[in-house]
Amino acid sequence: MIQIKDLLEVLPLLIIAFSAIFILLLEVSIKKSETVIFGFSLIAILAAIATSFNYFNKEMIIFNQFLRISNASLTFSVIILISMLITVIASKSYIEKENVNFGEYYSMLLFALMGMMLMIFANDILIIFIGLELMSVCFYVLAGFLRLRQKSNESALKYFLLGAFMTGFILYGIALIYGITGTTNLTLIFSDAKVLTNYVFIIGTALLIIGFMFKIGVFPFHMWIPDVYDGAPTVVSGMLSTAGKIAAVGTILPIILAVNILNFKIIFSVAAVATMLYGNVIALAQTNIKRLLAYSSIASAGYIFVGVASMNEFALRGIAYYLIAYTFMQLGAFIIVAMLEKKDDGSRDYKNVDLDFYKGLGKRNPVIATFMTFFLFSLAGIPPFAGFWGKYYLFFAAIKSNQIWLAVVAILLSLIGVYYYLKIIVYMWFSESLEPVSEEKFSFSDTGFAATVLAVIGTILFGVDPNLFFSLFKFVTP
Amino acid sequence: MEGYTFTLLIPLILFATFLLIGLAGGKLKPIISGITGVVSLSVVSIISYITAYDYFFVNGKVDGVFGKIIVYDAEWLRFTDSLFIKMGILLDPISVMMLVVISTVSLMVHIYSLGYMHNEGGFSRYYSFLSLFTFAMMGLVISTNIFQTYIFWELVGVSSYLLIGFYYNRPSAVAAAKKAFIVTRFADLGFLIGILLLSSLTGTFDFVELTNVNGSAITAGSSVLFMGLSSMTWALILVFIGCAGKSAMFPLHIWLPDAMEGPTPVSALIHAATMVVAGVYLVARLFPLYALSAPVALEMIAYVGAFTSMFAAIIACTQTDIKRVLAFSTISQIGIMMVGLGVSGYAAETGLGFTASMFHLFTHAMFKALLFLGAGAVIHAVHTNEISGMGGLRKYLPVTHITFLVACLAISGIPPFSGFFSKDEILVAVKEKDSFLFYFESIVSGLSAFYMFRLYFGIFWNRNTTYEHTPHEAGMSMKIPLIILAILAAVTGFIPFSEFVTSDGIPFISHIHWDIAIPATIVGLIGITAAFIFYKKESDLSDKAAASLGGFYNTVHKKFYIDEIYIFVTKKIIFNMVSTPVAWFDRNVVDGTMNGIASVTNFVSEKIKRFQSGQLQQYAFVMVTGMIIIIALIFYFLKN
Amino acid sequence: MSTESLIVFFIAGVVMVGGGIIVSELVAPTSKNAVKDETYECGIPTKGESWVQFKVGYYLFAILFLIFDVETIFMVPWAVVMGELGLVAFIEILIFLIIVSLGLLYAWQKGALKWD
Repeated sequence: MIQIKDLLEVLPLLIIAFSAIFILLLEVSIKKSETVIFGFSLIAILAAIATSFNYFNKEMIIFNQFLRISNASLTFSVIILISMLITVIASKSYIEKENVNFGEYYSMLLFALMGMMLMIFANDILIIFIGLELMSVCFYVLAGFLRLRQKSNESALKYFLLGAFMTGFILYGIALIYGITGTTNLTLIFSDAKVLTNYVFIIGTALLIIGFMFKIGVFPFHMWIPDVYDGAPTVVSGMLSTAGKIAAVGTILPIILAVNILNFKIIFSVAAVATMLYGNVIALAQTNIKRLLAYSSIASAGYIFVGVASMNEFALRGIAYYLIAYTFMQLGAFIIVAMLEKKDDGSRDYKNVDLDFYKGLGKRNPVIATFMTFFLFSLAGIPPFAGFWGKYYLFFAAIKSNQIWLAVVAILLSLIGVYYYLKIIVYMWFSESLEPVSEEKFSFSDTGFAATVLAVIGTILFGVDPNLFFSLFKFVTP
Repeated sequence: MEGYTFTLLIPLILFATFLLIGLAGGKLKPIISGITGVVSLSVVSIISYITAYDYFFVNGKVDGVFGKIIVYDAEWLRFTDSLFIKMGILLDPISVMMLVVISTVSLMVHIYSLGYMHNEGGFSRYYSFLSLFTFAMMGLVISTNIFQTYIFWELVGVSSYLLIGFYYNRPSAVAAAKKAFIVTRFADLGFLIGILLLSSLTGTFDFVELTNVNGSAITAGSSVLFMGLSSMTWALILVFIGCAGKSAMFPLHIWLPDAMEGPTPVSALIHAATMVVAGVYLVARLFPLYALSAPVALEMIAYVGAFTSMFAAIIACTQTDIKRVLAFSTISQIGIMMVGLGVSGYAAETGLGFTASMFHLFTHAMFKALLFLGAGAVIHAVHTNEISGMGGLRKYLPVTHITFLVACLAISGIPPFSGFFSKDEILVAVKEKDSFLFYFESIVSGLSAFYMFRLYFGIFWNRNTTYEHTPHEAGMSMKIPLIILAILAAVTGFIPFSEFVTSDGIPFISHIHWDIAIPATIVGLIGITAAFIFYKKESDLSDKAAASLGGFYNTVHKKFYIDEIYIFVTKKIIFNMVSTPVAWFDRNVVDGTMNGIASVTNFVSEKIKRFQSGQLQQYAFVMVTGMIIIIALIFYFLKN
Repeated sequence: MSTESLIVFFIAGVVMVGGGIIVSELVAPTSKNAVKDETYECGIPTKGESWVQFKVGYYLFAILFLIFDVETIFMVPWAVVMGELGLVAFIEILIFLIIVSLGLLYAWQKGALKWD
């Protein structure tokens, strides 16, 4: 039975849900409410983060067996909250710049956030589905938020069509699972070991996992990522690549753990290698920084899948660590791209996103160039930044699971990645600027700057002291 | 442990000072950086003295043993459950002693530099580097594990590099800084291998575990023999190579004379009192291991130290640059300290060598720093480093004269100054172990007295040179450290060191062995007399003596051509025969392969980027195909 | 139902419907002329494009209708079990209704309900 007191156990979820609805009300009742809404959503996310820490080390199943609070899900949920926080801070200036400063933007973000948290805390496949759809629909809208820009519309449409397509497969998988087990409750489904020998059940689970591989962006289900990240508003791309990915990983991880004895390992390893290969190799040829970051995010999905393919206790640590490092560095990089874009002038494409624009950035705006350098070094996996530890734990997990070939291949492929990250750094510091160097080198009015500083702090903090993460989140195997 | 948590302030204050002066110093008036440095070092010195007082006189002695106290030990990096690196603070007799030495000398140098560096450019930079160095040195001596020592070891090397190359506009200074860094870095290679070998044999980095006589580390690695020596011995020899580099033992001594290119107070701090004794300190830190598990290594240390001391002493007799004489004197004295350690046993009176070596480290820091600061005052007055440009300065620089004389008497081992006591103890320890070394070191003492007084007479007596502008005595900020150090050089001899610092922490009473002290003093007096004869008055006696030794004299004057040998070996042999082919291989084969791989990857990238067509239908098709393949694979794996 | 009768049923259906179509294809007379293939617009000649822009208001109303229709459907099973569950269930459905009507309020204020 649903107890009223259960409501208190999901305080973060409640806060986000009610804030999202409340923002809509604010939007219609107060004129010129954009700043108020911005502040309100900021407070909501901070409150959610703060209350989340209350629930660590309490494992419970609530709401009539529909939700499950555990350390792992709380960790993922807090990482997503942090990612959303940075996104919200960065969005304010961006949507003002692009003339789409609507309160609904923040509401969409919070609804998506709620969907993601629902997915992660779910203990029932239907709840996963509800969360998934809530998150996806909000993402479709957010990707197409710049209504007058053709690229944004294109990305939204492509995302929507492919997403709906994959949702069909997920539903089919859910149906198959339900058909075999007669229940949609995750704990009940996986409690009976003999169900794992049933072909239909395995196909159903595989379809479910495949659907989430679409969301994470693993080969061969990653085809949508370059177009969508390229066309969506840059801050939204950043959020999609981090929060979206984390939500999908956090949801599917317990399910993959439960079917661990099956031979999915080989499939995951091959998929991981193919993903890393695809992401890293094609990124070499890119001249548009948004597409380059999109391919780099595909490669990151590959690294995460190396962890998934290993699936031991080191892998879980590695995935969680990589995800938080990834949040800071990828989001930071995207936000810097967003800050540097030109104001909206009604054109079809995004301006200032070519790699040529980044030449000489070191002279034009040394502070931003330094931050970008930090993020790129972290993405390349160079200490003392957080990305190094993420990759280290992941590859270490691969070695520990006796898949040394996987670790070796992963390292070689991530080496290719170093090239295009360093290429940008070389462009920034060692090439002649193609844009005029103005006197005004430091503009601090952009909230993106504040967001970037947060991301830099995160990157360096978790890079210098890896133990901080584990003690902060008390991350134990789920 | 409860009482000493304030010792954490020592490295923190120093690091904060470094950051503060480094970042803000450029914007403020230079004198503020100087005052900040002096103030923070005074605070650190007071904390060190309080710690020392508390440790040695109040709380440190537990059950009659001065034990090791771990104040902090925090885990910094954890690689796996068995491999982790900690950072912490360890207090034991030698580390507390070093705290006192480092903070005192550093404070003196800070005050002195206020006057010496007064109008130099880069004043703030100088003080920030001084703070950085002091921080690194403090961190080194209070390390709880050998890895932390290594980190601070390197940091000390970096600060030394920065300070030697302080006058970066001078090519000779830049070259000297590079030489110092490269030679010590090269030695650190041995050090690192030694650390790895040691830790893999014993399974730990931690000093307390390594030096626990009842623990497992002492006996580890003794079974496996390689070329007749146990693997533990090899590990310790490798570690000693690192120490030899830092402490300028033959043949890695070549960087120290050149390091005199740095400002004189820097020479006083780094190259006399603190950094160069880091090697001695590390051997002392690992002493139970050396003494009980690898006595062969200890013998080797003794002989290397002895050879170095004689070698440097001979060279010092022929040098004409004040600072070079002092540099070789330092090398020689450190050699003596190494000998002291090398002949020492472990526990109670057999550990006399250990105590003596540490005692000599302590007193040497005082009088050598004094000598350098005094030399600095002289150089400041006459604007030249060469002895030939000086003479008769006792009339013009009275305070410098008296303090310099005190230091020279101390280093020559004349009672009642400190050097007498410390050198006497070393000689006693050496005599008990090895008579040959005893006579050898006695000759070195005689030579020390000789060249020091050659220097003294050459500067303050000899001839009455007329100077262009009258040399003026140093300012107050330079005089005060001189006076304080002179007092210390005079009285510290009376400290009953063996009641505080011993090889196993158990104090014992030592007394003066008059049967060794008196001959040693006489040897010293002989040296002084010889110098008096040759150098007090202006004469050509010394030139005639030099001419009569002919070629030998020239060889010694050129420091036995060691530098030239090094350059020959590196340039002609290593560069031509080894480096050039390797470079060719690197450029063409290795780079060629890498470039080849890169162009192949680029080519592949260009070709397959079209796969991302932008067409939705193709995406969906790829996804469905992938799905079908995966499900087929699942079926395939299930069937088996 | 047994398998045999299903198969018979299926075949009968195919035969009856398919048979009718095939027979009429074969037997009926044909005459083709151009006018028969034109679009039907009440007998008069067609005028203008058939692809016209629809008023977006239709879409908005349709979506809103869909939402509230589904809301009603959700209330039906609730109504069935409400008796057993008591006050708690009532409050919960009230919360649901309030949230959906907040959405209506939002749409109202944004002018989605205006026809012009």
